Amino acid sequence: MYCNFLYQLSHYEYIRGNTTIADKVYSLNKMLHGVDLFYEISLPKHWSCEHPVGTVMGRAKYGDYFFFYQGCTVGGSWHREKLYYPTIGKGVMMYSDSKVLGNSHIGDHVILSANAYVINEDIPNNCTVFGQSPHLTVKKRLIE
Amino acid sequence: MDISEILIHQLETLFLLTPQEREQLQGDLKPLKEKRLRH
Repeated sequence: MYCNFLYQLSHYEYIRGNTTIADKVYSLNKMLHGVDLFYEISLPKHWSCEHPVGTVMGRAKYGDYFFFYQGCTVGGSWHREKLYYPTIGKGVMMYSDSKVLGNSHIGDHVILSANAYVINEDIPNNCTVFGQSPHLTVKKRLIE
Repeated sequence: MDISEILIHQLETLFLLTPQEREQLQGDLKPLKEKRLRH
């Protein structure tokens, strides 16, 4: 998957101090796929996406086996003059146009449904999230 | 043409790589020449 490869390469070049190359590879990824995966963010070892046009992955702590679709946003948000970033657990799936912002803690194996908007909320493990903060609908899934 | 050559070609066309950057990238992408990248 070329999008994944270009992010890994830009992140690798950034870690090695080659920021001009990292910048060019990052821009190429943005031009080709319409996805903003900045080289300074640390995506997990295993992650994937499907037609990720319009997705912006910002600073956050990402758990392994992360997956996202188009139009998703993860990023910081100001609260009482302090900038907070989300924490995302293992095996989280973000469906189209879902957003996770600010001081949010997303548990393991959470599914964020299409258009879900989570800001400054804690979501427990194994849940599916619908709607918008502060009126989220959180449904527990039974895991066999 | 393998994936590293395609990538360098794209970067040169769009962002004008310097000779040093090209050399750096070629070195970093060398392991890919032995491994085929699957789609």
